[in-house]
Amino acid sequence: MKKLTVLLALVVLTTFALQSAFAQTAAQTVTLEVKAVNKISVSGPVSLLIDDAVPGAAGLVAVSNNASSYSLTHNGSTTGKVTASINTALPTGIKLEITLVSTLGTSKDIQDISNATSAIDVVDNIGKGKDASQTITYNFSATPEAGTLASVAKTVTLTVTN
Amino acid sequence: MKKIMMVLMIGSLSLMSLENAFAQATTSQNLTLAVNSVYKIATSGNPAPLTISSGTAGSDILTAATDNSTTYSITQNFGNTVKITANLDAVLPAGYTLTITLASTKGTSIPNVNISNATSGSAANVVTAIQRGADANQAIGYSFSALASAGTLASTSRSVTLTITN
Repeated sequence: MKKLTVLLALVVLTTFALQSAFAQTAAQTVTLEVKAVNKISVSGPVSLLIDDAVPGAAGLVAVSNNASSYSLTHNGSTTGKVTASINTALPTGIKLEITLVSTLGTSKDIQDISNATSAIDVVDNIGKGKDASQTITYNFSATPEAGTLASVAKTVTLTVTN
Repeated sequence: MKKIMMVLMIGSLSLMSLENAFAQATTSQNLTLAVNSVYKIATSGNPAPLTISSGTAGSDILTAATDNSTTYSITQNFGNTVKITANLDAVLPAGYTLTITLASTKGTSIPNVNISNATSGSAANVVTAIQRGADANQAIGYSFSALASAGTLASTSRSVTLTITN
């Protein structure tokens, strides 16, 4: 009986000791933040050359290029949009149009950026997420009255914004 | 205390606005654009045979045969001094005359240009001072005349070449 009492006492003490070992806590405050992230990139340069016409036709034979693409990431709380602008306007009678395909937003279809030194919308209603490798299509056209255009470099700027 | 709260709220709102304003990114794409010189001319087809079969008694000049059933179209962006020339592949025998007239709204037409002896090395101007642009479906007029003294001419073909050039 004495032995049993001692044994019980030992068990109780051990349990207390274990409970004591598992009763340690520590608190830590973690500050988390995800800022608005808008990222956009394009795949490469584009070259467009007009050198043909149909006799009697009002315009020269237009050329198109859809070899380049853009990718974007957007997590803003409001819907985003992509705008396009050109660094300097094209001469009268020479037209450059752009179309951006979009799965995350709504493409504005063909937009004339010949004189868009102030950016114009090309995609709107962009939701949160990513849109990778979406096609950029350029249409380049000219009237014969506009004459020739020596090879000239233009910069088209795409901006993703809220 | 109320004022401080108001100032803090305005401060917070301003910061939120700033965050919105800066939430954008840009990328640039380089485009190389060019429009080359373009000269294009086409005709609608071949005229009907030009056959002389009549004359006026006492006159050496037989009654001319004419055709204005065909047209030409051009498009050019080179400049405002472009012209069209015409020539035959081989000259006509003496006493036979083929003239051509090209209507034009973009340039200055030269009427009734004699191309009887105009070959590739001596093409004749038929339209000059053509402005940049397009001129569609303009009439081509042919007149074929002959002298009775030149005798008959068995049916023969000639190729007329119209060239747009500066």
